[in-house]
Amino acid sequence: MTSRAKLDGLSVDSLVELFAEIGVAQSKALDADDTAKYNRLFRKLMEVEGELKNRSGDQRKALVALYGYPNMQVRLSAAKATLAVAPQAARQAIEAIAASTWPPQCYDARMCLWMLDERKFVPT
Amino acid sequence: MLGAGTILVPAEGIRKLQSLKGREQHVLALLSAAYGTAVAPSVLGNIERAAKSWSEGDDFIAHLHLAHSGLHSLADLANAALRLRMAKGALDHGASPRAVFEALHLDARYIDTLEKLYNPAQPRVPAGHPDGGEWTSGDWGSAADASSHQVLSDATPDNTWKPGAQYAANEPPPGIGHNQGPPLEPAPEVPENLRYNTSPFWDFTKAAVRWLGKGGWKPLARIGVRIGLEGTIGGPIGDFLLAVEAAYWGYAAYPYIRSYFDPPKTLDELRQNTKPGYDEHHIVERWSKKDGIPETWIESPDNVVPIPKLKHWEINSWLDSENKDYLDENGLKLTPRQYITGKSWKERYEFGLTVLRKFGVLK
Repeated sequence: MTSRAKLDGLSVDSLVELFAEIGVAQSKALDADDTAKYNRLFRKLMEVEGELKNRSGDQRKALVALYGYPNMQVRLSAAKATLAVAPQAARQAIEAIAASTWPPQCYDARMCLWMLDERKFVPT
Repeated sequence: MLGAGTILVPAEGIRKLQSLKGREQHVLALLSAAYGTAVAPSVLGNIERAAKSWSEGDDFIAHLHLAHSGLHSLADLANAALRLRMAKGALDHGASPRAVFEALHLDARYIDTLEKLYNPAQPRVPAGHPDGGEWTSGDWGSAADASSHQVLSDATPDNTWKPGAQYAANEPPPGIGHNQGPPLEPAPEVPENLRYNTSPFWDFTKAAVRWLGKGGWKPLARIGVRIGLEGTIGGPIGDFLLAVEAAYWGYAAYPYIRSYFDPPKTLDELRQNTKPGYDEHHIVERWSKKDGIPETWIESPDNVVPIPKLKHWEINSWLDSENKDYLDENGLKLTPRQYITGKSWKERYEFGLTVLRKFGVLK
């Protein structure tokens, strides 16, 4: 589904939709304690994110629309994916997740902020 | 038998008591009258188990089950006997258990949740549905309807969700709708029978803590207090906690559920944690010895700390999950565990402490 050739043919809106779909599946994998599946889906998510980045004008900014998606994993992935293109809004979205008690995304969001603040992770 | 001849559970033969099914509220009303306070539904499980052991001729085990109920000797016998007699009289003359609970001035949320748990008029999921025949809650039923999420949650609706909005960390009251997250899904179904320390037991317990965390639950009571008190918070979370308590195996799951919600502690405070509910956690992980870290350092008391078992599980899952924040020198995405490989003891230790802080374990 997410082979490079197939992603090439998708519109930005379809890629955003696919990004959310994968995020929901990741969320289910987390709930099922299936880390292997989560990691496989993560790689697919990175392909979609990479495709959006390669589109003219860096279309990762389209993922900002997912900050309010009704799934916390999708919100977090969208916020992380947009750190380079919408740094302030993305950080605020991550801070909001970090301040919640929504496991397990709240923990990853808190670690992400720490990595950013320590400059151990610089979004590109 | 309780007090001066009050029959709690009638016998149906020699050493054989009738089932408690259908009379749960009645029994709880009598016990609550005797004790003058709300009696946790888990006591019913203790009574059932005691009755079973007794019917099998094992009086010793039966007494153990009753001891586990936590019901102590009555402190004020005269008043207890009077309350019991009045309650028994009222019930015998057609009063409902609710009337007894109300006369005892018990919390309305306790009374409501008992009715939801044990009232045969409680709505059921329609036949044919995967959950058909199971008890359901009217509130939860509406949760399935996307248009009525407001019934379940007063969180900011998703379409108006504002990045960076001030979140519920600023002392939210407990309960759903105060976590500002997406709409909460219905509570995990509470199985009737689960054996301790089996996969289904842990699957349920993990799902329970995640769901409660998403609901913004904060335990009201200190460690050691039973779920019944927590259940009085009402709403779907109260219903869920009471259902867990009412399940006969619920007492085994509660220490793990409760410890997950411990407030952050200092390392010294964490070292006071005792089982059940806690696991030994290595701040610099044990596998590091394969990566050149001396085993004596890894096993030193400074590096080992008991933490909530299910937080331990959350941390382990996260450490093994690929993450775009963790890159190698070529920009390849790693798991946090891969990222820390090859780092110095000091870096690993600092990282381990940070993980504990961010997961809400360490102050």
